[in-house]
Amino acid sequence: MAQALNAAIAGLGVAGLTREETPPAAILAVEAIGNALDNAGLDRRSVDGLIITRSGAATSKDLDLDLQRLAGLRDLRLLQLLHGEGTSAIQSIQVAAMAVSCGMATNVLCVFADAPLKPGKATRESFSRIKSAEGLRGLRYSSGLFGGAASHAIAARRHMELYGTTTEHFGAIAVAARQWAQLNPRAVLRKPLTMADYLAARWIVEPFRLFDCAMPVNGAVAVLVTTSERALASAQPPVHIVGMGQGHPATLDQRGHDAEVTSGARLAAATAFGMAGITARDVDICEIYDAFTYLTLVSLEEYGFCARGEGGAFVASGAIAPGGRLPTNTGGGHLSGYYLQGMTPVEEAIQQARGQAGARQCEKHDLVLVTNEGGRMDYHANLLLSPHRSLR
Amino acid sequence: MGYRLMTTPIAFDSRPSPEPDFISKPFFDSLEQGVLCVQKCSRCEAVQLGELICNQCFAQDLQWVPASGQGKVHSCAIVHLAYHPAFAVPYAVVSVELAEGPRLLANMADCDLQDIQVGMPVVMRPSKLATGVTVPLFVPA
Repeated sequence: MAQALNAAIAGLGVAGLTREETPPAAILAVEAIGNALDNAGLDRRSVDGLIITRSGAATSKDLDLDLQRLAGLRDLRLLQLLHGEGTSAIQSIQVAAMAVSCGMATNVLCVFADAPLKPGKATRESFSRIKSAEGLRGLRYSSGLFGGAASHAIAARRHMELYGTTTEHFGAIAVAARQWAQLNPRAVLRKPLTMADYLAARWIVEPFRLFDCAMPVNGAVAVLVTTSERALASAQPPVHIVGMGQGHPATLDQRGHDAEVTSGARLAAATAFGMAGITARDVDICEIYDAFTYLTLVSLEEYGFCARGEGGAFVASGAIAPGGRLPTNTGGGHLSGYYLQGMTPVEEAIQQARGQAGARQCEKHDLVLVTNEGGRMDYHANLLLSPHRSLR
Repeated sequence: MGYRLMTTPIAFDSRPSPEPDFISKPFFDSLEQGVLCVQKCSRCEAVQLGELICNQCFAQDLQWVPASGQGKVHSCAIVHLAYHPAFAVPYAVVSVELAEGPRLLANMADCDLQDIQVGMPVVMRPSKLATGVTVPLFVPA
């Protein structure tokens, strides 16, 4: 069905991306929308679609359908609040891409905003909320497994046990992310980070130390999705969506099933790669959802950039760092860049595909893979972005 | 790991309580009697935990049956960030694979943190919370 996909990204706007106090998420969203429209050279009357996404830890008090009115958007032909945990941002762009492809809408804004940092409040309070204590799922909280770091730590420890993955392998991912971040003015953490610095940092949840975990910010990112034809006439170099997929495995938590070392990426890859007519070898740049170092490692394996269990050796080889053969998380990702969930990798991918990434611009940027991960590797979505409409 | 702490600084009775629901009420009721139960499919006999329909044959005919209470540590995490007053850091959370196959999340007792190893055999001890709900706790076998 690749011939039916006719969608591109023509506008990109951000707001906030700061550890400082900011207005609420909805206000940041309006600012990002304005910036995306300026970037695309469009006014708000030309917008006929809005898809809103928010953090799994946020509520309707933070961001809801009222954003349409706040942002001055009228007579929309498409409006929704979409929820897919960490995959929400890419899912919203996928829905927008389908909508513009079939003519249901023409210019669709996809916006994500979050303001988890509040004065006098520890960040962990924003991300360790008890989501559901009902039934057996409540055993997670009665045993003290709060927040994403803890649930992913259980998974990372299993990978270490099965494949001999080491703490230095996770460190290699954190160090590479920081090397990229040093080239990105938007990145929050830009001081050099050595392996010794990584190893000396405090534990969060073993096997994760401080720099294995995302850097939360307050901010918003808005993306304008339109048809490929319209994108060609836009103010910015076009970024075509040449493939996209999802994978939600619902792996069983019982003997014989490896929920800790697999994700939905394999399924999502088959769909997206098939749509674009490519293989993993054709990917020039990866922008991976890296809320934790381990997610980079397991995603590289699941996408087939290396075999399962070999992610540690792959990252230790320098492959993902500046100058490596598979530039990955080239803005510093969630680890050193900023954590706005699914929009962080999307924002950097657009900059790279446009050729606007400044000092960190990768020479070869014909095909950029962007991933989103949600739950504890329960939900996965991806996009394949390219400056070329067709890769065939 | 440079520290030696028992896994007992957890104030076990003030942990956030699970809320027994439609599916899990028999699980928590049996635990109160000291018995860990799992679900067995009446049609295909597959053993599982926390399902509405059989995760193998999809029949809606699961029966609660007693399990051995034995298992092994499947994975573990040691939490150093103080998320909740019931848990003094550091403490361990383990994923236990029951002898019958299903896995569940729990804490360990009677075991030093650094002695918890993936693969070690463990046995279940019921542990009552302040809410009256009993949850599984594991000790070295």
